[in-house]
Amino acid sequence: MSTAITAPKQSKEPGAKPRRKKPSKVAAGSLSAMYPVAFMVIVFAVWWGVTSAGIAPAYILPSPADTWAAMTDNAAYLAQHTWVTTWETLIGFAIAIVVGIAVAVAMVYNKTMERTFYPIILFAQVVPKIAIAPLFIVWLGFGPQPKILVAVLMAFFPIVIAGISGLRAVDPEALELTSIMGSSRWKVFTKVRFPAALPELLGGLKVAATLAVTGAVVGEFVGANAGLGYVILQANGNIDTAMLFAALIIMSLMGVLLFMILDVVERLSIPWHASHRNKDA
Amino acid sequence: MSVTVEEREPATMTDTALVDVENVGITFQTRKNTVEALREVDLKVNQGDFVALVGPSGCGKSTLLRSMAGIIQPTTGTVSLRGEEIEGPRQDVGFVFQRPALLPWRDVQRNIMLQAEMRGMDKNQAKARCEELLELTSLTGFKKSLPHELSGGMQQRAALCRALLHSPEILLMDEPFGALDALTREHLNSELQKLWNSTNMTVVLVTHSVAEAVYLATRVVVMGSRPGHIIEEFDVDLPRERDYEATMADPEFHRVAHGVRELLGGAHGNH
Ligand SMILES: Nc1ncnc2c1ncn2[C@@H]1O[C@H](COP(=O)(O)OP(=O)(O)OP(=O)(O)O)[C@@H](O)[C@H]1O
Ligand SMILES: [Mg+2]
Repeated sequence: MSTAITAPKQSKEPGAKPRRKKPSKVAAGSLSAMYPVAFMVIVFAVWWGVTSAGIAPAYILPSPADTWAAMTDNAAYLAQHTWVTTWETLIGFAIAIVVGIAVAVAMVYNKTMERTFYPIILFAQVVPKIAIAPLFIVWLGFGPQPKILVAVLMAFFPIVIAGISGLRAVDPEALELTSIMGSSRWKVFTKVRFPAALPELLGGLKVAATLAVTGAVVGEFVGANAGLGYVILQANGNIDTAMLFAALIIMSLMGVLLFMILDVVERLSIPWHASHRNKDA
Repeated sequence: MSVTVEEREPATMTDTALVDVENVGITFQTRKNTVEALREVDLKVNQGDFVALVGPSGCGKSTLLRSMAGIIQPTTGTVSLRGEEIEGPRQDVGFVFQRPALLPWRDVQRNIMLQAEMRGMDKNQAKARCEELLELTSLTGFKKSLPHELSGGMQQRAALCRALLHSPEILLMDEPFGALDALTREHLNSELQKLWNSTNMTVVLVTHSVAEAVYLATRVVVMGSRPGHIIEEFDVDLPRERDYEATMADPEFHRVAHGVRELLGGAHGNH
């Protein structure tokens, strides 16, 4: 990117070099976006072809047009429920971030904490969330709380794991250096340890974000009167496959969007990291 | 000790040494085996000394230097600073590691300023000092560069600036110029010589270059391995202020360099 911007400044040269460089960069950029777009076009074409040829009846596979119609006709209804799931996801994700990082820090700084928490965390991760979700409904009712809790549980694990290995990834000599500088533990954490952990932590957050969406919907499956999980159950009951598809697509877009937001956050917060340096080389 | 300072004769010279390494042994316990890195090491460093540690790879030079900073505690024996036993990391030293150990997310200036932030130094004073040091090490044009945008030698110079920011009385350096080209190395050696000569700083330098050791040091300590120990110490009878060319031609330079090389064996013959 930076070379593309600075290229015109070097126009003292015959111009061949910058001119050659610039289009190749642009082409490479649009090309990388072209692959998924092309893939989606093909998927839609096959989808459209299969349904319009009458191979599959509409209650098994609705056509793209039917799905689009289900979306636009019920825009208000879908927006309302999307909003509910979005909130559950975001609140669950936020709680998972705070608790996940706190637990990771506690476990890295304290051996006893590690020995105590690690088995519990692993146990909580291994238990299928869909199996304990009904219990949460019994405990917390039909409101958003049990959904948020499932989202937290799903998102928590990758954050803790990434946090722990990130905090351990710090250069030992950088730590020795801070001991000579007489730094307080807080300063060492904020200025050295935490920034060093960011690359791994952000990787964990990306995984966790998509899991938070899944968690919220799983929570809704078990007992809800709002949210995309509820919409899917309703549509399923009515054999309204078009609506079901519409809800699924919205759900996927939500996960992708959250992932992309975190990708931008990653680019902005750790531009120094090798994973970004090599990207446009 | 033949510290060739005529004008300034500190009282500490005859009393307690600034750094006193007494009968130090350091053994590392790893999962598989134990490594005896140092055995029965005795070394006194006086105020204003410039001590160079030379020896084959793995003979415990880094370990000895680390113990002087209190980063490593000796298994046996004691390391004292001004007569006081060192019990933890010392904050009154400057340390340059064998690797630059810069924080990859901070530019050169902010890496150097880490020292000031951690110590809570006055920000404006530290900034001014930082500029001086950048100038001294010819890094001024790169103060906004990230470490990965610099050459290894430039990174090491930035690490040197960071170690000097708080004007430490004792500067401990672990092969700081090992990764530099000969010319830059010569230049930085001269700068270090001037810096040491113009301040009251005490320096302990680990190096693989016999020429560098003899040119800079008032005392060259030769170490041997398995386990690490001190073979011999050479006092360098040269003036405190040293010109590079003139020193290289001085018979005293050749006497010491020859003696050191003899002990180290043929391996270091062409340095
Ligand atoms: N943290 C450690 N754990 C275990 N063994 C260690 C550790 N640090 C050093 N050693 C061992 O102690 C010995 C001395 O190491 P040291 O790094 O002090 O050598 P050195 O003289 O600095 O070598 P070089 O010139 O290659 O830097 C080596 O055998 C090394 O393997
Ligand atoms: Mg070493």
